[in-house]
Amino acid sequence: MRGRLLAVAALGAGAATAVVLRRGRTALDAPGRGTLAVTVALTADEVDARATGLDDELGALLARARRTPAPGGRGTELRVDDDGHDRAGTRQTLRLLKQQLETGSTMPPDDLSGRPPTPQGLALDAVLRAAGREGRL
Amino acid sequence: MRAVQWTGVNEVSTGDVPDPAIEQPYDAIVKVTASVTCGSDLHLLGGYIPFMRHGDVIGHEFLGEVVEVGPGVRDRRVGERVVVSSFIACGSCWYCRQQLFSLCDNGNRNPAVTETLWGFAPGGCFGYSHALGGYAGSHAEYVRVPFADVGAFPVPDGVEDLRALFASDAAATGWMGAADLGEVGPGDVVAVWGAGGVGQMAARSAQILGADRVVVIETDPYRRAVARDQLGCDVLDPQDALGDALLDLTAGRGPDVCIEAVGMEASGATGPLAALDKVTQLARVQTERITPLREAIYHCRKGGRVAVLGVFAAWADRFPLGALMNKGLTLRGAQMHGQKYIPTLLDLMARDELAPEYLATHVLDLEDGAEAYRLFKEKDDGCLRAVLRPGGV
Ligand SMILES: NC(=O)c1ccc[n+]([C@@H]2O[C@H](COP(=O)([O-])OP(=O)(O)OC[C@H]3O[C@@H](n4cnc5c(N)ncnc54)[C@H](O)[C@@H]3O)[C@@H](O)[C@H]2O)c1
Ligand SMILES: [Zn+2]
Ligand SMILES: [Zn+2]
Repeated sequence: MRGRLLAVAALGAGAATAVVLRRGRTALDAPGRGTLAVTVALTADEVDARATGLDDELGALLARARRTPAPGGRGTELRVDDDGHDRAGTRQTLRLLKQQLETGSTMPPDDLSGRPPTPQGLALDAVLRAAGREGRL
Repeated sequence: MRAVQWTGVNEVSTGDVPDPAIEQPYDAIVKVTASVTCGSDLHLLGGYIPFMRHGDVIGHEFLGEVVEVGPGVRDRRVGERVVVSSFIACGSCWYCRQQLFSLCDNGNRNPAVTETLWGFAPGGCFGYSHALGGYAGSHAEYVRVPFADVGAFPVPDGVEDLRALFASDAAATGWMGAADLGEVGPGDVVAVWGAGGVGQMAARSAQILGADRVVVIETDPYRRAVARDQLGCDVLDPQDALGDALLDLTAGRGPDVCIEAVGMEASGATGPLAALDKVTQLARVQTERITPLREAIYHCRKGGRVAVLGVFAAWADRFPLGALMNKGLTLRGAQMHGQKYIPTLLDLMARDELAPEYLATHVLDLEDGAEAYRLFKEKDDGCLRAVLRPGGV
């Protein structure tokens, strides 16, 4: 049992480290990588039709995005220049924009505030706090 | 409301949690009438998927009644008896349009965790940790069902609860393994590793798809007997000259399709590789014990197909890449695309061709969540699956 708990802590910590490392790298290469991109499974016309219903933040991001048709009928590629600050915030807004355009609603990261703190939970909380803003997108 | 919660490694208990509410326009609230333990939960409980938070509600394979719908829901109606896909999918992204629902781009609210682990994030799943979206599970009086028009299916009148229940996950997974990943057809000899709910459903699906012969390989003698008696499969003990037995059964060809339905906690294997697996898994040098997958790849015929249904979390050592490459095998895996298979399965159930209710060996009250998992994990009293019924048995 004790071995199992240690093992759990190791994988949990591993994931936390991965997210933190990624965040470190993100900060370092923020000006370098240039763009963030997603593909939405909609034609250019469909994107236009749905753009009217977007809130200000998502609408502004869509207006900033360069649009190209994705190959093979995969929809439309949206590319946003990383303006050098808050890359993580832009990334998350882009995710929400894709969700809103494709599904008509957004699903922000789940919120664990209000749960009693536990030792293992602390590492997980840190991972999840970053989860909306990190990742490979 | 009352719900079964994860409270630590190998600890679950029934407690009070807030009632779910409509959060998104496409949500429905389902009053759960039956929710069943799954082998996947054992990996969670055992701490092998360490993205659980104290108090999380578990359970993902369920059936119930729609009691409330969000303003965007068009097809589902209050009062309908529905079975719900364990994986949550939006129905509109590119993957959903390809019917690869468990790969939905928009189903997982915390994609960064699995993007970091696996390169890209699959969809979300009820009650299956914060890595898969952090959704509350179904071992509860009520559950919020996102994208209800996509994931909830009305159950035909003639199909009883404990039959339809398994369309949610176990039967859908088995069907996917045989029909899509394994492409089973007439004349095939199919070998299935694991005779839990998933393996049994893979074996039955292979029969329905016309397999000439289905052999189930399982360490537990009772479960072997169930596969033999309920399904009429050949059964083998993997520790009893498995290679010879498979060669004999197929007259030297090897099975055409091999389906792995055991997952990361494979037990019972002996020999140096198995011992090494156990040690390295405990030390987290690798995260899986893959004896059945090694066997599946080794014993599969040349040019055959290997399907991985068991859940694995990260990496495994001593993977038989040489056998895979030189024998020209096709290896595929997936979390189940329930939204694609449930209509077919309900239809098969209505025609009595698929009757998985025998898996429900134990039916308990929601208050007995801990006992349900004890029975299931220890395979005590012949437990194949333990069903929880909120509001009493
Ligand atoms: N892909 C999916 O979408 C999906 C869906 C549901 C479940 N699963 C996974 O499928 C697997 C099986 O699920 P289940 O509910 O049937 O679980 P289960 O625990 O009831 O069944 C697993 C069976 O494998 C047997 N087993 C253990 N070691 C073995 C070995 N070395 N050789 C042969 N058999 C062995 C066990 O005795 C047990 O009967 C789990 O890993 C689960 O997580 C995947
Ligand atoms: Zn399951
Ligand atoms: Zn989708």
